[in-house]
Amino acid sequence: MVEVLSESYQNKFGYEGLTRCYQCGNCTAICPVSDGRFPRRLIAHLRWGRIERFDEVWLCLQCKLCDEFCPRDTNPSLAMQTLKRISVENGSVPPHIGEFLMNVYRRRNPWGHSRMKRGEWMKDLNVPTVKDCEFDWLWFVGCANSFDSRVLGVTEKIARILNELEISYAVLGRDEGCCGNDVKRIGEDGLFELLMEENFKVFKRYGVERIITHSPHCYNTFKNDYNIEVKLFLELLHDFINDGSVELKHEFKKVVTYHDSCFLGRYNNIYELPREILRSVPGLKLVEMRSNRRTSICCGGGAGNIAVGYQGKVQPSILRVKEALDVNADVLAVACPFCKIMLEEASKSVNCNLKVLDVVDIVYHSMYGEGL
Amino acid sequence: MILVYAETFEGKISDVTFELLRKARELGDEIWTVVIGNAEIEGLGASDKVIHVEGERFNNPALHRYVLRKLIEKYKPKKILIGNTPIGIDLALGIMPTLVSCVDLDSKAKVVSYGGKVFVEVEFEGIYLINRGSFEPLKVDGEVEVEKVSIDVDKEIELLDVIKPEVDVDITKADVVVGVGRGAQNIVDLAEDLAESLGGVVGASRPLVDQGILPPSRQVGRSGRTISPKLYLALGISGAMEHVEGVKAKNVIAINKDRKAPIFRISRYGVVGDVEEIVPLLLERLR
Amino acid sequence: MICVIVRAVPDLVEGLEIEERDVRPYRYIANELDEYAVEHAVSLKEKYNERVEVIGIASEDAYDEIDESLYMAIAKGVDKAYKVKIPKTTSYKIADALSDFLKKFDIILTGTLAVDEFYGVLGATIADKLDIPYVGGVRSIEIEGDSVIVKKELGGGAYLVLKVKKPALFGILSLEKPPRYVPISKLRSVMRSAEIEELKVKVEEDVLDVRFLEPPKPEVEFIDGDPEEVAEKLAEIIRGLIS
Repeated sequence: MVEVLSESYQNKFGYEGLTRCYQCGNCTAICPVSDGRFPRRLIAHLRWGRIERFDEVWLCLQCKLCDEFCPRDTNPSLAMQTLKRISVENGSVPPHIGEFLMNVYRRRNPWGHSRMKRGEWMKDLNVPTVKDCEFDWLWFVGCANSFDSRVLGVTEKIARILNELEISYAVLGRDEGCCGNDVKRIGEDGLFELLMEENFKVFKRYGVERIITHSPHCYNTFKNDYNIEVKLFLELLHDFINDGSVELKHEFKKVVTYHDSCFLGRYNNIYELPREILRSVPGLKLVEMRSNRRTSICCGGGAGNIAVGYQGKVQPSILRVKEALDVNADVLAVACPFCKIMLEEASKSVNCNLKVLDVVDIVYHSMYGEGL
Repeated sequence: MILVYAETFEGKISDVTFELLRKARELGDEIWTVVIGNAEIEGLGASDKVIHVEGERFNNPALHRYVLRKLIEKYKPKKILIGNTPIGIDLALGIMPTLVSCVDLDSKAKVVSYGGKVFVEVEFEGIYLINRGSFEPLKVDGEVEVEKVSIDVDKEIELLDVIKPEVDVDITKADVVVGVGRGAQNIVDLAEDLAESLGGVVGASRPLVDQGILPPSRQVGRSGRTISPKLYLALGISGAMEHVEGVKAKNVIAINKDRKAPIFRISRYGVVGDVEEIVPLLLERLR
Repeated sequence: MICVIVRAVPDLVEGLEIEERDVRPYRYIANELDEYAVEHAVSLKEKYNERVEVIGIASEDAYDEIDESLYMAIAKGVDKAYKVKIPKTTSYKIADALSDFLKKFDIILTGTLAVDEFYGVLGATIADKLDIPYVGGVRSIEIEGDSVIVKKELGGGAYLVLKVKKPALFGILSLEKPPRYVPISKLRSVMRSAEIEELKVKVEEDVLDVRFLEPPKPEVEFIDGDPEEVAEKLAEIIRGLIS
C-alpha cells in the first residue's frame, strides 16, 4: 500500500501508547476477526515505523474489545485508528470504505441516499420540525433511522412515544446531516471536521442546546467529540418507566438476550440501562450470551462497514447470532440501528428463527400491545 | 430514403439490425441497409437495397463512423437508424444531428433520458440511436439488390485485438437473471435450471453468498454487482435496500411469501406464494 | 498534453421536477463518466508524466456547483482547471465554441455520454469538429509513442483493443480500478489555494422543440390463482418479456 513513515508520525497523529506495548498478543487473542496476527503485528511495525503494507488495518471495526484486555493500556484500537488516518492521508482506502466516505461527503449518509429525502419517513406522522416550533430537545434521528427500511419502524415508534409523553422536541428533517462518528473511526479527520462544523452551524441556527438520539453512534460522538449535551432515547425511556409515566402493561413472553452496542458499552460504559429496561417488561426472560458487557462482540457494522457490509473473512454478526442461539434465545435485543441491520441479516443468513428486535420495539409492544 | 446501419461483428449481422428494419418498414420510405466490413448478408430482405462497403480494414467497427459519414455525404438520407449499442453509440456524428436512446420515431421521436427518469418527445430528423428491444425484429430471407461501394477513410485507428469474455459467469451482462434469496435457498438447483431454460444466469442476494451457497461473483446489490437484464426473476428475495440498489432490470418479476416485501415495489409482476411450490411448475412450462 | 471535459449534470439521486418545456434538477453534480475520465487522465499523468488540464462546463444554475469537482480533479493531480458558462444549448453548439480551445491538446477525454445528453454526443461532435479520431466506450488507455492504445467495451465482457493515432478524443465508459479517494482535508486546502480560470468563450443558445414527460410508473400487478394457474400465467408473461 503506502510506505511511511516520518519520524514525527506519532506526534502528528497524537498517539503515544505504542511504546508501552510488549507484544503479549492479548489483543490478537481476543479479536473476533483476527487472522492470528492482527492487530499485534501491526502494532509492532508501527512502533518502529516499519510499515510496508497495512491493508489489514481495515479489518478493524474500532469495537475496542482489545483495549479492554490490553494489560499495558496501549489501546490497540487507537493504534489502528492512527494507521487508518495515515492511509486516508495517503488516499489509500479500500473501495468499500471509499464509497462510504464519498457517500457521507456528497449526501451526508452512508448509503448515498438523497439528502432531500432524509425527512421522508415522517411524512404521515405528526413530527415537529425545528422550523415550526419551540423545543427543548433536538431529536437527532441519525442516518440509519432516517433511511433504512429495517429500522424505520423503530423510528416511527420513537416518534409516537415522544409525542405521547409530551416531550418538547423537534427534528431537523432535511437539514439533518451525518454526525460523523464512523467517519472519525475511519480516521477521515478532515471530513469529520467538516461535518462537525456544519452540524454546529445548523444547531446554532435553530438554537439547539440539547440532543436526544437513539443511535449509539450519534450519541458517542456528540458526547465525546462535540461535547454537547446529549441524552440517549433509552435513558429517557428508562426515566419514564421508573417514574411510572410509561406503563409496561402487555406481556412479552419470550427468552431475550441483549447484545451490547460497542458505542454504548465499551465507549460509554452503558451496560445495565438497556438490561434494566428489558427486565421491567412483564413476561420477558432475560438471559446472557457467553460474550456480554465488556466482552461483547461487535455486529460488524462499525467504522464505515455499515454501507457495504463487513468485508473480512469472519462475519462477527454470524458469530453473535450463534451465541444467541446457544442460549436458546427467541429474541436478540439490540439498542442500535446498525446492530439491528447487521444482526438481522446474519439471522437470515444462518436461517434460524431468532428475531432481532430493538429494545424500543419490545417496550413499545409492552406499552401498546402492538407493533411486532 | 432511410438508411439502416447493419451492425456486424466478426462477419455476422447483429439482431438489433432486424429490429431497426421493422421500424423502417413501418415508416414507409425506401430502405437502404448499409453493411460495413466483410459480412455474410442474410435476413435483410426487408430492405430495398443493401450498400456493402467491403474491405478487411472495415472489420474494425471503430472505423464505421467514418465510412458512414462519407455515405451520408454521398447519398444524403433523411433518416439513419442505428442500434444504441456499444458499437452503435460511436456512430453519433458531428455532421448530422444525432438522437440518443431513442425508443420510437413517428411524427415525433421518443427518447428515454436522465437515467430513465424523463421521457422526451422531440421534433427530429437525423441519426436515431435506437435502444435495443424497442421493436420486434423483422428478418426476411430472400434476394436483395447489393451495391458494392468503395470508401476511403483517412483516420488511423487500427484494430489490434478482440478480447473475448472469460467463461466465468458475468451476471452484469446477462439478459435474464434469476435471483435467489433466503426464501429460495433450498431450490438453487431449480433456479439454475430455470435460468438455463431462459438463457440467463443465477444471481443471489447477500445471505446466500455469505453462506457459501453461491460464489461472490453472483451477488446482486450494493456489495455485489449491479445487473441490468431485460428480466429479473426474484425468487424468495425480500428486496432489502442493499439488494434492490443493484437491480436495474427492465422488468422485475418477484415471487415472495410476503405481500408487503419491498421487492414488489420495484416489480412489474408479483406472485405472493411459496417459491418451492411455484418454481417447479414454472420450470415444467418453460423447458 | 491531455484535456478532460467535465460537465455539470442534474443530480439524479436528488430528483427532478419535470415541466413540459423544462427539467429542473434540485441539485447538480459532475457527470459520473466525466469523473472517470479525470481518473484516467490522472493515471496517464502518473505513468507518462503528461500535463493534464480540465475544463468544466456548466449552466448558470450549476456554475458554482461545478467548482467542487474541478477542485477534486486538482486534488487528484490535474494541473490546471478552466470553466465555461453555457446557456440552454446542445452538444453541437458547445463543440463549436470549444474546438478552438481544445485543438492544442493531443489527448482529449470525456464521458461517453452525460446523463442528460440525448441530442448529440459531445465527445464525438468535438472530435468531428477537430477532424480527429473518436472512440467511445473506453475502459483503459495507454500511450505508445505517437499513438494511444485503448480498450473499448463491447458489452458481455468483450473488448476491442485499438491503436489510435494522436491527436484523438476518447469517450470514457468505465474504470479498471475504483476511483482514487481524496482526503477531505486535502480537498479543502486545494479549495483555499487553487484557482479556476474562467474561459471566456461564447456558447450559443440552441433550444430544441421538446416536451418532457414523466415516464410511465410501473406498478406491480399481482398474479393470483392456484399454483398451477399462476405458473401458467407467469410462463406466458416471461415468454413475452424475453422474446
